[in-house]
Amino acid sequence: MIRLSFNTKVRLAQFFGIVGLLGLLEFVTRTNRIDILTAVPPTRVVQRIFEMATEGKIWGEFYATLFDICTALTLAIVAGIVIGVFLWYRPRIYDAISPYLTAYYAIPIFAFYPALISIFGLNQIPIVLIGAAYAVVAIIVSTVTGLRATPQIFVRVARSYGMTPAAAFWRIYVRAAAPSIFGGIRLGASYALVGVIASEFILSPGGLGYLVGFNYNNFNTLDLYATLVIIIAIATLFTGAFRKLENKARQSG
Amino acid sequence: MTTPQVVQSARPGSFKRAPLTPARIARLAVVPLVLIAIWYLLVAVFGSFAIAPPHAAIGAIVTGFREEWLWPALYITLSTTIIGFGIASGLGLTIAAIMGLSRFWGAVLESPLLWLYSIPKVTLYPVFLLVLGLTTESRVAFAVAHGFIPLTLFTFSGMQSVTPVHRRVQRLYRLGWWSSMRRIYVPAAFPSIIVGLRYCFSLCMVGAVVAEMFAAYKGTGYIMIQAMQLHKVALLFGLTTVLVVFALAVNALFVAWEHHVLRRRGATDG
Repeated sequence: MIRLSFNTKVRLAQFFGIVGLLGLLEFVTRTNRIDILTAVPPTRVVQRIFEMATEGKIWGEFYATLFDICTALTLAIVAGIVIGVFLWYRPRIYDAISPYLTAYYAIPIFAFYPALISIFGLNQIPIVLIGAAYAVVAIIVSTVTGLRATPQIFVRVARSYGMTPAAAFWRIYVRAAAPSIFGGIRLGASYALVGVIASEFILSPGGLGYLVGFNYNNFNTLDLYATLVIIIAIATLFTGAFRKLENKARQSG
Repeated sequence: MTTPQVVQSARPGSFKRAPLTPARIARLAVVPLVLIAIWYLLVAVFGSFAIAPPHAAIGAIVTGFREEWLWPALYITLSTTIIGFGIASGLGLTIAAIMGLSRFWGAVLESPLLWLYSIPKVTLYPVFLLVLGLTTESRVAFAVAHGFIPLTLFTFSGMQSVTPVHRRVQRLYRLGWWSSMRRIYVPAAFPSIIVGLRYCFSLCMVGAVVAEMFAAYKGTGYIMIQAMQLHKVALLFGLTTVLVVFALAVNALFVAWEHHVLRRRGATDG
């Protein structure tokens, strides 16, 4: 009798859980227990993804979406850090705003999407703005919290070395806050992605999210599932990459 | 070199009573007033053809109520949200209870749930439509899918905070499932449960509204898309405001509940 370690058992359970679910889906779709308009076999979906990649049409949507996500995230990072530093520098303003920052993610941010379309038209701008708006507050909050949590001992070191405020800011505060800011950027990255793809899905001229809605409306179930899997894979890789970045920032901080 | 101090999520006893003094109310009012000023400024920049000024937006909402077609739409969104919230709460708390009581299931389910939380679930709506059809059920299920994950994760992490002493007490008294839940785990996790419920509600609302925006023939989300297409900007901005104000109000209720619980604990524990 082999004795498995706790972690191995957990990994095995996760592995067999996922394989089991996919297998079940494969079985019920292959044997027509679920009709082809509702669900398709996972193996067929994987095959279709490769077909789409070689056909090449999907790449245009892929780049459009990726570009929007990156633009939204860049906007959010710049605005988030600037606003975060400002709020740290002006604690009274921060005190007035902070209850609203906490409540921010309770707001259904997509409620602004139709309004933004009516202002800017049906193009990339409302999509990028929703993505940035979704991400920015996580970055603001993490910047302020990181800066405010700078250990007093470092602040005293700066003072005893007679650092100018600018030097103290760059050499002490930024470094102390970096891990927290990177944590915010990681969250922001995942919010920007959700914001962009969801807006594309609701209403847009293109992108992967749009493709989901398009395939649904055209009863193209196979392509619908293939697009969904691509989106989920991108989301997983994207979040994973930013988690790595954050871990690096924490280690070298 | 440095580890940032993670902000202590309000610990029992660390809570000061913050009464609603006129000064505090005035400070809370600053942000909405500034936002309204910015709103008017944007109207001045973009013109009232693109952006409806606040008074026009409120006017459109009042008209909607007077003509009696607005309330039914809001009611549909509200009922989808609340039914979804009810189901998501039950589901989330049940899964969290299973995960919290068994080290094995906690470890097995935690990373898949974290993963599910990070993917854009909005795009999965067509799958709900394919399985459940263009029905209220599919919108409720979609709201549930959005709401239950944060509740599960918050409750689970709250249950982890049970001290070893309490675990030993549980074993010593041979408490059954129900009584260990009632006397040990739920009290320990309660503040986290309230935070989880707060997230759960707002995400259920997002789910309900997005579902209506994408495919429905009634409800607030549907009316918003329609207002956008017919260029009824006043109604569109009015509805956006109604949703935001409602979400903030519910959020404030949950926060007040959380503070109340933490304060009472502070009074008895410390």
